[in-house]
Amino acid sequence: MSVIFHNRLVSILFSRRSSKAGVVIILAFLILIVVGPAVIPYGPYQTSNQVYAHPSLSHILGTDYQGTDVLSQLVWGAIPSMIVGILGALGAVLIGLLVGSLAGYYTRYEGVLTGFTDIVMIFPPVPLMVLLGTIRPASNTDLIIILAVVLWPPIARSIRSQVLSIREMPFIEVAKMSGMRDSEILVKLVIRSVAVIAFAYFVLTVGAAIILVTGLEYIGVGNPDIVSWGSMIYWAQNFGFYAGAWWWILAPGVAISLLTIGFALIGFSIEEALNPRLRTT
Amino acid sequence: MSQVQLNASAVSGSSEPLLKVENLSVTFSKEFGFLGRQSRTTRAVDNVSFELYQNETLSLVGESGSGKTTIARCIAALTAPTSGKVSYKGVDVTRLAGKRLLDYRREVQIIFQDPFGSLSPFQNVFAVVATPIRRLMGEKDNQKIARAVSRLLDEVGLEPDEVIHKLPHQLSGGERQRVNIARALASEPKVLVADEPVSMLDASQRLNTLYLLMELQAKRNLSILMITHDLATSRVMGGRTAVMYLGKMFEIGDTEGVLTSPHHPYTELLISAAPRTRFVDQVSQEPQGSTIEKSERLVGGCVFRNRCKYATQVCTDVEPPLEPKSANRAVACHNWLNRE
Amino acid sequence: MTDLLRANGVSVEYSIGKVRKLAIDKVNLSIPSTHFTMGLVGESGSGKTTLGMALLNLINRPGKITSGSVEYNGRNVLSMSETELRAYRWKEVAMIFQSAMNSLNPVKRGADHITEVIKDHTGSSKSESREKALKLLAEVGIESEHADDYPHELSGGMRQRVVIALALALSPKLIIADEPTSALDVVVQKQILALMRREIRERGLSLIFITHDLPILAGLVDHITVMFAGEVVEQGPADKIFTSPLHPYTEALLSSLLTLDAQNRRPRSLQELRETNKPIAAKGCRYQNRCKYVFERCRTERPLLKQVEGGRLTACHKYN
Repeated sequence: MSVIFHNRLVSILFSRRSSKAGVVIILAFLILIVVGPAVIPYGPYQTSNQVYAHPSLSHILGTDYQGTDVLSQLVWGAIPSMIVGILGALGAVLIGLLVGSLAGYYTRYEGVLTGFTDIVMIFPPVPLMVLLGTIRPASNTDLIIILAVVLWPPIARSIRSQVLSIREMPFIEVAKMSGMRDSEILVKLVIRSVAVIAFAYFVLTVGAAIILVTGLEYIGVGNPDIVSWGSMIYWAQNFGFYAGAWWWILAPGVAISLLTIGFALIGFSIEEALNPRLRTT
Repeated sequence: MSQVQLNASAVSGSSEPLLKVENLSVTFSKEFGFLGRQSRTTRAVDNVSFELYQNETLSLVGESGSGKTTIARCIAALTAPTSGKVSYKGVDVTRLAGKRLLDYRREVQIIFQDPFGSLSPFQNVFAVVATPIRRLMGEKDNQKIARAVSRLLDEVGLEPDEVIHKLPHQLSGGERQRVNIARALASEPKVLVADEPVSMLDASQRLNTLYLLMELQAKRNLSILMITHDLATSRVMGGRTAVMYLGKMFEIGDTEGVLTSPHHPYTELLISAAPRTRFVDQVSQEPQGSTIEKSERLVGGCVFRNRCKYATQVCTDVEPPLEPKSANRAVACHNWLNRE
Repeated sequence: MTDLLRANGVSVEYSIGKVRKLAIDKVNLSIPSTHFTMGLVGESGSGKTTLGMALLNLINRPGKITSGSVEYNGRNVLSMSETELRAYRWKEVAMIFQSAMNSLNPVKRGADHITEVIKDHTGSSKSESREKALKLLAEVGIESEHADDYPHELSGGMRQRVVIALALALSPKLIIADEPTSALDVVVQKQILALMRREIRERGLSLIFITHDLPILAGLVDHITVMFAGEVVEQGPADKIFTSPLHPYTEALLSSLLTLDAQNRRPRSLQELRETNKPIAAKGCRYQNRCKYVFERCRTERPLLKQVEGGRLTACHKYN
């Protein structure tokens, strides 16, 4: 069954220009992260006396207020940002999948679960995140949990509507007629049916997660002394502006935007492929 | 017991019906408007009663909206009736749960109209047919299961080795439906409810699939409740036929009689609209006595009166009950057509 | 005299991943003029829908027209520009598909569908267009009280009438209908078929009616083309096809029909069922594995569509 999943995924990803572009972007970032640390001659914490150096051949993206190479910060900082983003999105999808499937399949719990989902969703995300972030100095794990808690409701709603329509399909009733228990049907048939679209939601959420975690780090939640894109913006905002070090400010922002676009392109392609009504071509 | 019941039971050779539907009514309500304050109720099935005996075929014939599918679902314990009772071997099936429900499912099975939609895209043919053997029969021995699956697939005209590993999208429409039949018969049921089993198949496969069902019936002493909109299907299946319209049963009797000398005007209409093979000019006239479908539901009296060319005042005032009118026939019509 | 619509040696291929399937193989079809009604019959997979779409140049990814030409009044349909195609597809050749009644715009009223089409394509004013639309709807049996209903307020049969009115709105010369009645109840189906027949005859239109259900063509069309496995296997006047079929497939089709007046013979059904499973042969005649007349030549040589007894064509070695 996973073979079908992979085949479909691959064929979806490579059949459209938009998703191919997305794949290229993500791959480029992955290569950068893997190859970068070996190739770039500077460390992300390595200071020098060449402060605020413009982009040049020796410092491709210039240096910051402490003479640290911006590119190396970008490359090293990508790792925590991406990992936290991906794991946070994963957490959100798992919670959303669970709540959405239960809400869609079991009519008894639907009211409670949907109501609960709506309440969490209405909560303004940023204050919620800040609130959660002040509980204690936030480690990466805490950030992942915060992201998951904030991002799961829209996923749950989408999954729920998918499950509602799958529930009406004849093969679900056939499964009941064949003696399968509800819990079995839920896991073996329903969740498998939504697996691919859940993956699409995951991909789409990663972009939002990365932006959110960057935002959190920017306002000081998390540890600004550890190099990450968010902390880069934090310091660049405070120091780089007045020195006119545009390269330092732009680099993390552009990187985040590009990466988010990459994930979005892939995510939209998968969603579009699964839901023909969204097609515009 | 009414005369009609006596004759049906005489045919089947047993005096007690296997399945008894009594005053079955099913009403669906849909909420709409602000805060769902308004609702529209649809009476899908309206006070229907009939029996199904062992080793007989009863066809429920009607157009969409006649309630025939809803009745099938009530019998299959997939939909709960609003009022009335369905009993199998004397036991009320509407309140079954847990193990007793599984026992019921073992005896009364259903196949649906959509051969493709009835099969999960994640289960191959073997898994589909094995599931009821495992779950309804409680069989755990893998070898026995494999042998049973092979036998069932062979019985429905498929090559077991060729199809066992296939997924639904790798089979043709006719093959898929046969897998569904094999699945339904896996638990050795006594009653098979077939909801429009051939209407989504190619015309060339329909007759053969019906013949297959009849063969299986003869071999396994099966009772078949055939739901269809097509009179030709009920004719092929033989047995008895009941004609339904907007939730009501208008006529019931042995199939040949109903089709050659219909007593109810609606049955007459259905017969005239059925496609024929002989190359006659069938479409030159709009079918007699029918007007464009009106969407409002009539209250009181006979629901067919606005389309009926024999309607009189009493049809507006009094709802005609389903009553035996001759040896093998019951009709619900004030002006029933006595052709005997 | 050029034909009204003509397909010459059209082949269409579908590619899904690495698998390439030939949906229709060098098929010819001609509608010589108006007043010409043709039924196109075959089981699913026979290519009949693909042929209909090819005639309208509607074959999209993953399908592709790999050979042949489609000509309308001598003009090459397959090389028309988008604007030319738009004009062709509604003003000259109109289509009625099975799913059409479900793809009416749910937020547009019935009459508005037709009013807009008339307004956009003929330059009539809005009120003139609406008048024409109402007249057309009345003709197809939708009274003014229902003309402004939304699609979900109309029954299946009424929606299909709206679709028929839409097809007739710009006075086309030819209508291609693909299973327009399969989703309808039998009484409604008969009404819709009667309606179509009446409109087609009164307006002198040509019709290509695609279906897998042979009996509904009786009385509706004058000519019938039978397709099997992507090829035309028989063509001729409708009454002859029903009463004395030439090709073994047509014969088998006629004997397996589920109709009220069919003789109730009981074949060895499991045997016949297994027969219909037999694969379509790759070499020689495609029907050989299911044919009860098969002989040596069928295994090696593909039969070509040839004329047999005046006006009738069939592709079968029995007649060579």
